[in-house]
Amino acid sequence: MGKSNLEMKTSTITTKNKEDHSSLKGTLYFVLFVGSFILVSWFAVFFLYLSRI
Amino acid sequence: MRQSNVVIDYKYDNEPDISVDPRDGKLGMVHIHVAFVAFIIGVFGGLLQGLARGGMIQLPTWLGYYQILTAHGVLLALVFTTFIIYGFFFAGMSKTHGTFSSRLRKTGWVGFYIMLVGTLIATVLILLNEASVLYTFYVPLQGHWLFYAALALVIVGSWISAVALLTHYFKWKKANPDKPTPLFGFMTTATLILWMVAGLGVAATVLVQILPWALGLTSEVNVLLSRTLFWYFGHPLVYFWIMPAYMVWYLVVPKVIGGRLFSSSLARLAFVLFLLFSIPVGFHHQLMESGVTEFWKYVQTILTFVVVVPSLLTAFSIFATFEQTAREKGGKGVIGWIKTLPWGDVRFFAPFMGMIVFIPAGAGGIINASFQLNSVVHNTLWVVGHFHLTVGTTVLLTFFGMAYWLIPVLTGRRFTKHANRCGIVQTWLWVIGMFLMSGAMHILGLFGAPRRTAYATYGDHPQALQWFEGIFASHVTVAIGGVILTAAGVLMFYNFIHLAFLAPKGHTEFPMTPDPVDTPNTPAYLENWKLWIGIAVVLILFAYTIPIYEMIVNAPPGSPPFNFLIK
Ligand code: HEM
Ligand SMILES: [Cu+2]
Repeated sequence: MGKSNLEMKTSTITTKNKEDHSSLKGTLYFVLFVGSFILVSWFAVFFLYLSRI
Repeated sequence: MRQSNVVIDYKYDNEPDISVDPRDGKLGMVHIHVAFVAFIIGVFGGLLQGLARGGMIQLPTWLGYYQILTAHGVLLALVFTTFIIYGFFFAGMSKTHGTFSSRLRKTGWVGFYIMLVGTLIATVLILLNEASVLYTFYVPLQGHWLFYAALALVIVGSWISAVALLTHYFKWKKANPDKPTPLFGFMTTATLILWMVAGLGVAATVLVQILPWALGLTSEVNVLLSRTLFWYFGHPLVYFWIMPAYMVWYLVVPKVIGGRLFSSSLARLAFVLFLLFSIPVGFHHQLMESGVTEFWKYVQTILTFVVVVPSLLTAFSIFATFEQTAREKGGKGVIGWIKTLPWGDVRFFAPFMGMIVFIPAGAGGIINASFQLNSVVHNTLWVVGHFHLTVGTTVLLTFFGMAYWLIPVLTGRRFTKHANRCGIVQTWLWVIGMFLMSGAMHILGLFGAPRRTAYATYGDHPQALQWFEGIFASHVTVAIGGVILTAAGVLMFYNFIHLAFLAPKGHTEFPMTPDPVDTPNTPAYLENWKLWIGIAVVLILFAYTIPIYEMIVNAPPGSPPFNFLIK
């Protein structure tokens, strides 16, 4: 009885932890930021180019 | 399926910190000595250039701007990088693949001495103003023939050392036929194969075209062909710098933050892609050059954009490793977990700042490689700003971050708290100095300021005068940034002296991330070097055969030497 209780407890804790641990939300925002930075700087120079031809 | 990223594995936790055999350590360490001597001379060259260009000092008559510029480019971009990379490779291969046999170690010493002799001869000739041809040694500028012979020696020496390292790797592979090779060896091998294949181009132009011409045996030189062969080598050269830096990111930084790399296959794939796609792309440095048809420029531009992919893979891998590790250590929130990273540890902090700088650096690279945008920035100070971010900051800060532990490991000393503190200050100074210098260079470049020019107001042309007046977009800002960078450079040299000679004797950890859990499942084809070399050669032949054939058959008029232009 006691044993299975304990098991249950640890297993819920680990699932909870796991969900939090495996989140890559920060990485998602990071790559979105890198992508937009590339696009913005590329278009900035592209418009400079257009303004000079 | 999910695997822990934090090193909780018993086996790994108890893994003894195998130290590098002292005999191999000595071989690694001599490379680092040469690197830092070159570094400090190069840094003072940079300072003089920044001040001279900004009109803040006037160079003495016996010291030319282009003479210093050549020394600066050669010592920092070629000598510092190559030597510290080989030091890292010898140390790391000894640690991960076992002590070198005495025959291979001897081969490594032969390679080292040949590189050293070449470097010394080249440096002396530059200092004598006999080789002020800039670090790209573009013809038809002509330097002393001995300068080119010395460069050839450096290349040959590096090949000999590469053979020692590669033999060590393949011996391990043969002795362990069923196992995937350790990541360090895999990545070292990819980098060295790249270096050897790329070196063929520069060796060809130096030995077949430039040396006979500098010796007076031929009177004219095919400029277009020589530049093409140079850039066949010149672009992979930048990958030869960045791949070892990525090795620190993949293999050292995860260990320093107490985590583990999350995929072996992904890391190997990235390095294979670098090997395949970083050579057939040299034309992106020649987009504004006549004599190459737009079709071949287009083909190589496409291939250039392919080689962006492994860098993006790397950015993703590393950031994901940070996030997973931080979360397993209890980090919370979308971004709040970032607080759990070891900000006070320079072995992490310096490479991390290098990674951050790689965001604008990489974005700038994509701009450079886009044909129309290249016409905006080509040969302007923008380009100089760009590579001071890429090699001058991303790669250098990563190598500095590595030097803090590698030097004491190799000299049997302790990585002291003092060195760590100096390292954090050093990193900040370098980043701030570079922000000012490189930022101003980028903007000046967009306003048309050319690179590779001493102080000039172009007959007081209003546009040229503006380059000295802006608040940020000004040669003065470049010079101020240069002064801060020089302070940072001196501090780094002090750190080197401290760790190499003064720190107390003791043990320092060689932080090497254990191979990821998926290592045993690494697909065997990733280890098939014959296959990758074969594909690399096919791509090179595809991208270069027809254009080079045309350059030879329909050669432009040859050029006589010009050896007095910028002395
Ligand atoms: C103290 C730090 C540094 C300062 C103040 C500095 C400053 C400069 C300046 C003012 C120029 C030249 C501009 C021109 O006339 O085109 C230059 C060029 C250059 N720098 Fe630096 N730099 C520094 C560090 C570095 C580092 C660490 C590297 C590479 C690892 C590097 C590589 C180069 C190269 C390759 C050139 C181009 C040479 C050429 O055009 O032939 N610099 N630097
Ligand atoms: Cu390139």
